[in-house]
Amino acid sequence: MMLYIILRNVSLLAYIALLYYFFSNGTNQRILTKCTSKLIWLTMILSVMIISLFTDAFVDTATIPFINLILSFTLIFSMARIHNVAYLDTLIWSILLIAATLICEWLSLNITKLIITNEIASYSNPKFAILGTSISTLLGIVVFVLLKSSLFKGRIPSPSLNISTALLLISIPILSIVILVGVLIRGENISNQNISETAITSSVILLNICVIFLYKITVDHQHQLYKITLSKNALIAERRLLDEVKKNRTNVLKLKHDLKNQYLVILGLINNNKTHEAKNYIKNSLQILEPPLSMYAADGVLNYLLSDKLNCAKEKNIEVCHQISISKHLKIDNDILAIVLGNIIDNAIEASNRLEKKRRQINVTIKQFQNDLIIEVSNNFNSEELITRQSRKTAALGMKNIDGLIADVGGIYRHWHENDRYYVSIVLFNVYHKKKT
Amino acid sequence: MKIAICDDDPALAEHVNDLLIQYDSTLFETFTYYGSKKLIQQIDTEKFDCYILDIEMDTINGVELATLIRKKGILAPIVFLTSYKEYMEAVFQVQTFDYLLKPLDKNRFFQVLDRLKLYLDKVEDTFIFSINKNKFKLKMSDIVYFEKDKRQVIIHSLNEKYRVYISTNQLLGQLNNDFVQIHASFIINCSYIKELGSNFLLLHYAQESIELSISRRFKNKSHENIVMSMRGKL
Repeated sequence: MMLYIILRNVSLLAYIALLYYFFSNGTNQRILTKCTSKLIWLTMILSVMIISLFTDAFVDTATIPFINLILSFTLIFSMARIHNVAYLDTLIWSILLIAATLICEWLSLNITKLIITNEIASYSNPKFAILGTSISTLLGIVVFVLLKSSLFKGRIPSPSLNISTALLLISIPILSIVILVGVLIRGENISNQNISETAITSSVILLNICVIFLYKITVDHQHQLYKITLSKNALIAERRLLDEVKKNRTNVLKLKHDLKNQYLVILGLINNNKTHEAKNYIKNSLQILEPPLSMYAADGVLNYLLSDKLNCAKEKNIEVCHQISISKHLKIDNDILAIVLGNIIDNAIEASNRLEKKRRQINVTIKQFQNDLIIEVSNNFNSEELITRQSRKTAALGMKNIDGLIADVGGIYRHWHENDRYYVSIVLFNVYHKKKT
Repeated sequence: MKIAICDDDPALAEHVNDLLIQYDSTLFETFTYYGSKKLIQQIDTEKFDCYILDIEMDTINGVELATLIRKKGILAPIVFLTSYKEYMEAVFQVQTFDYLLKPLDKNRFFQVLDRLKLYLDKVEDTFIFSINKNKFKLKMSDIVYFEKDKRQVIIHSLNEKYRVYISTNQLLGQLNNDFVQIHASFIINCSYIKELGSNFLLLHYAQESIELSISRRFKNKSHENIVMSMRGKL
């Protein structure tokens, strides 16, 4: 009897020490005074010992696991609060740590059974009790250390979870606890076996329901991520337009200034009857009026984006062949077109840039045929990358975005390769909004 | 193939003519015009297969001339010549086949001619079938879609419907790549696609639209074939 009381107290105190280690460095803020903190510590240790003594003396052995469960939960909760962990996170950690503890218990029970083969495999056997408690404590230390070192690296994060996500996150650990308790209390007792079976069966059903909800939440999150990515790309395009406007404004001011000076020079030449020099000067000055930006589309953002991308390719010594003309009377949103074109031209530039200079070549064709728009971007690429960069097929969020965007506007997006050339083709139907004449 | 060249710069008009002869001396019958007025007079009588028009002409420019051609209901391909590097919105209004910059680049011009030849060949492609031992000939470009009805196939053309006994394999063997199978019962002409949904498409012809299902079995392949068919127009 005394041995069991000592064993329980030792393992519970070890558990408190582990919890202290786990939650320490959780925050630098102190919400409790030193005195209050000490008082809580003392209360915790005394409560553990008194409850342990009381339950061993007066409570039926079948009820002890449930009391242990409540005690563990209380200890984790108190320790987390001492270390100023947020309430919602405290709840999540309480459940997760109890689940981890129960896994350790279950493992130690089975390991002890394997070690002690010739004796009674029950906690009524002192040898079994000592070995079982030691193994579960050791496993507990390993699990807590691994959890802390792998998840937090010295600091417990405070994720801003909403209640529904938190509940869903703890649902599986809760059900794991129910299953493990069911397994651990299962003995020769028929009523215990029935409770255990009911607990396990209902938990398995609930686990599957939780998975369905998890699936829904994951899909929602992915959808949100997709929207955020699109918004981000649209913002980048807007930012580019603003930069272009600023640049154009500066250019206009510079031109005004230069024109004034040029007129003064011409005036001076004419006053001195140097008409031939004046003519030559005007001819030379006309070059300034050449548009600095190629015109591909009526939309400023789209035109700037295309110019920017194609110039970027030329800067990287990539030979660019292009045939682009996009009407301003397109039904399709220019932001969407900018995102799509930006993505596929970027990919072509990146792939070409990984080749030796003489092989770098990109072809961009955007043509409107009757009411449909056909976009094709092709580039030379290193065919070995089909194997070495295979993971990118599934990891390319950009490509998935394009696929989704094109499908949303009722178009088709296809990409393929022929030998060392990679092709991306997009077809958009009935996008031309013909002007009424 | 009858081609009308219209440019108020005689040297350039002749250069275009020379390039056409260099490309294939037997393929083209060229008609050169140094102004829009004479060409306008002869549009109805000559029935050209293709027009090569300079955009920057005095009095009636190339785009105005093209608008006039389209107003007459003529859908022949139009290729524009221009000195301006800047994009021109006006050319989209008249369903331009292509757009060439002056001075003409021979390779680029020949590429356009390659596509023009392919396009006009397709327009001339015919579908031959028999009904009660009578032979019928239909321009493939006039066929909107084929519908399988048990052992028969209903040919939905721009003007009429025909019922023919023909197997799907025989049918597919006769068709060019403008035609794509989207369902066990439907083979469509990509030129008439107006809208594409996740499991249907809308065909538009003769002022009406028809919705056809795309079956799961044919979805991926049909999407691929539609893209390949449209690429032929690049």
